[in-house]
Amino acid sequence: MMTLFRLRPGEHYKKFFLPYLLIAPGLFFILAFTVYPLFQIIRMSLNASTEDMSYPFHPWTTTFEHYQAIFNDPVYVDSIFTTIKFMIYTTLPTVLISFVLAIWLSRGVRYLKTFHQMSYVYPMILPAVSVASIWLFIYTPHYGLFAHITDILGMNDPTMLRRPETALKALVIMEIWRQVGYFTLFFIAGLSAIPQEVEEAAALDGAGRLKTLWYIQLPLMWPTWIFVMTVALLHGLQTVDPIFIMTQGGPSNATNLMLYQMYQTAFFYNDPAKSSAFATIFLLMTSFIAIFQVYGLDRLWRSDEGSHANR
Amino acid sequence: MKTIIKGGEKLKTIWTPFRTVFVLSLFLMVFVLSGCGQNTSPKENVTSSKQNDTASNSSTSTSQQTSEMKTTASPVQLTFYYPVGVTGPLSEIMQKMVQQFNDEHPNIQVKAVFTGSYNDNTAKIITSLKGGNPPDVVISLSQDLTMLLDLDAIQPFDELFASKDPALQFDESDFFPAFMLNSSRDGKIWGIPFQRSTPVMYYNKEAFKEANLDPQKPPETWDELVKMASQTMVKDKAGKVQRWGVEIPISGTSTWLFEALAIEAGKDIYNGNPAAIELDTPESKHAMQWLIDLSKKYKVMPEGVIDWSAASTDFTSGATTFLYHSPGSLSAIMKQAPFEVGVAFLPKDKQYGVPTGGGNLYIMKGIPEERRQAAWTFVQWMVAPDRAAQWSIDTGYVPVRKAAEQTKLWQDYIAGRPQAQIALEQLPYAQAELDTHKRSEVQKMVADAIQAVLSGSQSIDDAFNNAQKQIDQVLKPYQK
Repeated sequence: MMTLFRLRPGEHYKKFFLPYLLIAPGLFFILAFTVYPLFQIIRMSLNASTEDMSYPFHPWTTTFEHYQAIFNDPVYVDSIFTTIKFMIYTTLPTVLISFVLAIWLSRGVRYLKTFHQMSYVYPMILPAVSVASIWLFIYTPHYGLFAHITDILGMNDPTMLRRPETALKALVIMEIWRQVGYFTLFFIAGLSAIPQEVEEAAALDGAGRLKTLWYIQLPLMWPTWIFVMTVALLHGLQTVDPIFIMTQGGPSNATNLMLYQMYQTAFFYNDPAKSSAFATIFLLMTSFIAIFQVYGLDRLWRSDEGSHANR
Repeated sequence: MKTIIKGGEKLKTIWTPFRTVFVLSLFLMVFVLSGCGQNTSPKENVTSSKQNDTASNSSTSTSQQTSEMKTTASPVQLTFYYPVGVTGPLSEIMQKMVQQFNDEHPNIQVKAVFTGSYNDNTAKIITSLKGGNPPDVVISLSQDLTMLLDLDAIQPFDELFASKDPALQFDESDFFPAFMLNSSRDGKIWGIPFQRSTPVMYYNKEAFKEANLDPQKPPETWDELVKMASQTMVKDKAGKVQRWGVEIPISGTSTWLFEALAIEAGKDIYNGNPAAIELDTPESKHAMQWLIDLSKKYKVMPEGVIDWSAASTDFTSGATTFLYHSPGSLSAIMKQAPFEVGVAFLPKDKQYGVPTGGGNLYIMKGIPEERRQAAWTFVQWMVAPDRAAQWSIDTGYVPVRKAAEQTKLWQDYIAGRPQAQIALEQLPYAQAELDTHKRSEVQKMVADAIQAVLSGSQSIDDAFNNAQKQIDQVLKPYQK
């Protein structure tokens, strides 16, 4: 704060005004399209009346009845657990597979390297709706690809999307397929950022392939890991598109993810207040993951000397 | 070095005009985005340009548009929302129809807005109402009547019946009574049937012949259906099913086919009272028991929740002999199936019975008088006998009125495709479809209960009694 007074008049503009002027357009859009709607959602979720809330200073009464209604309704509670399940089921395999793929692509593969990289990244550039349509066909009983394969193997078609026990897993498999390429890219970037000398030094010390992986590559890539984990978790939490195409939340609410239920509540049950309350719960979950990343893990590993190499 | 400098200069010469364009487009973007709040839909432009002085100030309408408005003695502008609920190029057909209307009526301009599926359509209507910017005329589910009334969004047609256009041959008593069940409430008519249907049963005549059954005699009762389904089933040597007997797809939040089963078992779950659902009756439990028996006991239907759209492909690819589906799929099924397709009534248990389905035309409340009259002309035109018949031929929907059925157009059509007549013949047995207060929520509870039983996670008694309690809770505020 003291620097403010020590500066000559012209410098005020340069040091304080100019930066804010430069970020103003971005800031405006964030305020108008992110911060203001968030504020409104929290307001609406806490208001007793479900009437028009579009005026910021509409008279209102604070209540938690919408939250109570959500936690008393098994459909909503199940939806939260289904979402958490879906998030964990997709994130862990995705991150592990993409790490292995990245190691293989950057160190192991000899021929057609670009072709390999392209084919793993390919699912990412497809629109989510097309991916869902493709997989809907794959899972179709009788004549879908999955049914064909199980037929050749002499097994019974599991009809994954028809049964609540398997429907979520079917979506998980699809999501993993869709995301692996994307995270592989980050891991490849992380791997190539490891200084060549470090690996050479390790090799001179007699470290083999596995030891290099364990003692050099893994620790040096922690920042990438944290970033990828966060993005993957948020991604899992935010999945909704395939639900519209493939299952509509069924069978028996087995794939009723939070965003889908939120949309249903707002636009089909015509209950914006309850939907806002559900959105606020969702918001808390996402913020928890984000805070975990920014303040928790990131700080923990910043003290580690090695990670600086990557920054 | 020289070349690099040259390149830099070149870049500069490109950059300078580009920069201007860039800054301008940025400005434009901010303009458009900030205008979003007021001018979301084209209709708003139309209304603002009608008040002539604001039109010239309006930033979004170009000068060309404004001059056009002024020269053509300003026709009445209508916004019309329509969804597409079955497969086929229906949106194109509708756009052509509206174009024809506009050509025939120079003083009315209807802007047809395609809104997606029925669900998306309902969501868009609600959103536009909340935004204070509703359309003038909509096609929406006949099941949406209670919701639209609860939102105070529509107006009754009764007063408009006084001012009919004789050329359009509108007659409210000409519509099939079954279709009017979901159109009237408290003695008033709120919706005009437009694209309506009842579920029918498709069957594979080829499979009948293979099993030495007479393809002209489809099953008439539940028991016959089970028998014929198991006779026509095909298994390979390993015992794996190649062709199932029957598929009754009840997926998502749809309860349509279950309502049919409940009516057939003796009692519909919806009795016309928008504040009640009777799900825990012996009849509906019996219907559910039969449905689950089809896969568990008789083993003629695949287990689990069968997807609505996948089921019709199952049928055309020969993976099932019988299929319960909408007559709206008739054209697509006839086109895709490599075998002869039969269409029949849904088999009966105690009685024949189906719910109706599909969409009605509604006129929104609170629109100015001239738009109201224009909307009324448009509605009459849309259901004029020839047009109604043509729409049914193009889409597969059932003709909504007797005059349409009697047109030469329709008679010629069914001479070549008698299957199209079945849904019409079934109409005397049709009842209202589920339309309660908070319909989406209530319907989802019913669908959840059915799916819980189908997937084997709950018994019929548990699922249905629980759902009944939940539904009663939701509907309690509406009970008098």
